[in-house]
Amino acid sequence: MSETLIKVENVNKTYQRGGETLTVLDGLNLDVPNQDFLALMGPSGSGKSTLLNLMGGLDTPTSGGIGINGVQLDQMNAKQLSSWRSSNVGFIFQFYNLLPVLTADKNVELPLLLTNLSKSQRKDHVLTAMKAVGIDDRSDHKPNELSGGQQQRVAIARALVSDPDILVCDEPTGDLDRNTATEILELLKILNEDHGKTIIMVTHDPVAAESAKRVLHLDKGKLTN
Amino acid sequence: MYWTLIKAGVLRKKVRSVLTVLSVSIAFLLFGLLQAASPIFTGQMDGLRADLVMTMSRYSMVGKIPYSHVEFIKEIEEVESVLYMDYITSVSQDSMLDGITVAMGGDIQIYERFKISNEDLKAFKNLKIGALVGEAFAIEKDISIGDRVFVKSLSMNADGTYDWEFEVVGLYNSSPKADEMGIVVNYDYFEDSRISDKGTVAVIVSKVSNPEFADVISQKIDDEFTNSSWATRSGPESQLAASMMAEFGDIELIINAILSAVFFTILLVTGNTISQSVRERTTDLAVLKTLGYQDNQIFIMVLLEALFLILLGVFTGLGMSLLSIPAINAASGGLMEGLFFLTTEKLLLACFIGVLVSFVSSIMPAYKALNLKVVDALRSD
Repeated sequence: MSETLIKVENVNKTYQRGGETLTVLDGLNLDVPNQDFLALMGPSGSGKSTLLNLMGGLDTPTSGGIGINGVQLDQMNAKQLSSWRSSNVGFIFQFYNLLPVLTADKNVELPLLLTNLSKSQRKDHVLTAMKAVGIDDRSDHKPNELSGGQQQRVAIARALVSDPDILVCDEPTGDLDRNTATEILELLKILNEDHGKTIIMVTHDPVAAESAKRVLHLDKGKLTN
Repeated sequence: MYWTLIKAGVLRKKVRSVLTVLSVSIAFLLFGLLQAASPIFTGQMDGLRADLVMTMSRYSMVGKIPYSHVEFIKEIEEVESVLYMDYITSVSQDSMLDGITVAMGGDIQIYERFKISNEDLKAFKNLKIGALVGEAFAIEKDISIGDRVFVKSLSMNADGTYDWEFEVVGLYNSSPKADEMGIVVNYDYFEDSRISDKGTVAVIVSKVSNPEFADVISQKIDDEFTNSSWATRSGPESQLAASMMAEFGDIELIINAILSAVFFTILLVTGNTISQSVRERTTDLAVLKTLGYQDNQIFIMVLLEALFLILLGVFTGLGMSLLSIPAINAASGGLMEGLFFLTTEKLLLACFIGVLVSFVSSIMPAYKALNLKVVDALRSD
């Protein structure tokens, strides 16, 4: 494995709820090397999704630092984080979160609408991403015309289309049957091994976690291994 | 970028979007038709002129003023020519006319919107009992040049009857077409033959050399007769017609009140629709933000989506109005022409109202979308 891509340094994340301070992440330190495939596991409320959101630039820590490729996310404002996310991270959700009225290719194209690419260039990128996940034959289908596995492939294509270094996956197989889940995990492995994507995956499923190169456990806001 | 997102938002609930557009379009159809008809109620008709000063009785629209006023007005320096007229109101179904016969004297061609050929005008002036008939009226009553027309009037004729007979010597056209539903006769003949109200006229119309003088001349005429029993009310034709209609009540205010109620309802309907639409799409919006869409882009997207829906309704409603206007004019036999129309200003006003309604109804949902926290929205999913 190569140099550190993501450096989480002494990160704390707390929330105020009903006058009480809830500590979700407690002085957490973590290095994620480039091209790692990391699975985060832990019971509900352990802070794994919060850590995922911090590394994906969706949230900022209460204290501590998160550096990715030399860029300090904790120093960025909301606008800078949005711009950073659009070109550096791809998100894959448990429930796919595709826009229901758009066809598969239009869903995949969404991140590219923020770029200066021409229509034909966007079309080429979309086709490449859809081919990479084996869903190019369903490009003009709407999400409700696709199976769960196919929808997740479209979501992965959407995450890949702007060629980010990092893929952040929140329970990517949580809504799929075992066979389909295996296919999706195989796909993620290919993206990690053949395409050099760094993958951070939150999962409750030990079988899914086996696909990762590393598995880390969180409990009460701390890494336990 | 925005078009894809707007399309996605609008098409998410097609039936709701169609119903919203439909309700907006009905409101703007109503706006279009009421605004088109407002000249009828407000006297702000097309073609009314600022260089024609109308003078009539101060106390009544059907009151009389003496003919000597005509002589006074003719002597005013800036007055170029004068037309005077009186009405011969028909009172019986025996009359061929259902409305008003106008006895005119002086410069009949002062009204450029009345088109009379030189031959017809010559024939009219040469025959005391001559009459010019509006083309629309001639067609409706099947009247031709040379025919005799009869009017049973409140004014007694010198022969002791209330019957007046005229010979049609020509036709006239006018805009608005409604003015063609009448007959013009010689004032001198009417004046010579009537028993009562002798030496009076109902209206004096004077053409001034410059519209800027119209107010001053109006004031001068009214000041001259202010303390007499024949006090006058004068004003440029374009203003006086409106002020006369205002005496029936502020109909424009009533129209505006109705439209305000309609637009307020539309505001609530569209506000509710947009709010509901944004609420239902909380996850979609959060996903867009996750993908890198900025808060202000999402804010603009919601505003544009509302603008698209409402302008679609505005254009549909105005389009229906614009299609209805010629149909209504045609159904009236052309009588509404020049009275029932939509000006560019009214169309632009409708668009402005549309933009305003769209902005007011979508600003709160857009603000909520702007402040949507991705982490919270995805957690609540």
